[in-house]
Amino acid sequence: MAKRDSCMAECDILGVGAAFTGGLARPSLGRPGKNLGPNRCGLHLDIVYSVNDTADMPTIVQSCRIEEGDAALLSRQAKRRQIEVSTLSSLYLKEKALEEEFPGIGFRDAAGGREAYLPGQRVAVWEVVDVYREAKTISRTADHFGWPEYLVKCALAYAKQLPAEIAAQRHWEAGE
Amino acid sequence: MIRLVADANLSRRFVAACLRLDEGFPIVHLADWISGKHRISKDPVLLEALREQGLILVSFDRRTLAMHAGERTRSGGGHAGVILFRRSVSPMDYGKQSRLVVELWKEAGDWDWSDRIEYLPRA
Repeated sequence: MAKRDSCMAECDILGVGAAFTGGLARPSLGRPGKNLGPNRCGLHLDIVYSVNDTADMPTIVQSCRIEEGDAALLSRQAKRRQIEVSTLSSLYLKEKALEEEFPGIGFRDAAGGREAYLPGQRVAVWEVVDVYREAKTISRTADHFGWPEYLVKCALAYAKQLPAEIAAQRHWEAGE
Repeated sequence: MIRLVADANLSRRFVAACLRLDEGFPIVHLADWISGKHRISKDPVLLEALREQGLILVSFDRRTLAMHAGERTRSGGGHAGVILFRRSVSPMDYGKQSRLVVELWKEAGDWDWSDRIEYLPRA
């Protein structure tokens, strides 16, 4: 019998507008497949993929297989943070996807939760936006921080895509 | 002798403005302190490194930084002092920033800064 070398991980992903199963859907993981008809996205989904797909909690369940060793690592890290493995998986997945989409952006723990920042510079994205609002230009903002312009562009591109998140992070940190 | 380190969210222009007001003002930018070794450090690591050297961090107010400093004080690790600009101070008003810090330092240079957090402008 082949050694089982991977296990199933499931996580709720916040704010994802469509179900993604990568062609490896396992409807049998959930309750027997009851087709609920088109969801908000117009997709016909099995009940497994419609969990929490409501306006109040717009998340979907996404399943994937990972190596046993990676699962153990994830479990240890979740325990350390005192959160569920699925919550941590969801967080990592979301942040890694955003890091791929916006090179130069990373995430760190902050007083109000996770915060987007420029890992090589200790500066939060919302702080770059604050300076840009006053500086008015990318070159003046870059000059303020003593950075190359592409770092400012990275931060501004992220902020443009996720303005509500940046505003919330600023609110938590600056209290305004 | 250097006593103050300006955080990465402050401009080198702020440091230059301090030095224009007082040629011997004991401040350095984080990017220039020990060859920028700590420009990527997270708050707890930076606070520990500064504590070891007895250096005060000057930064813009971020709740997380104050939180980490407070945690270090409560845990007994301590920190060597933090000066935070309130968000009412414009990030690009280097003149005001430098005047506030230089004025504070005239009075506070001899204080015991251990575990102290000072906000500017002072209330």
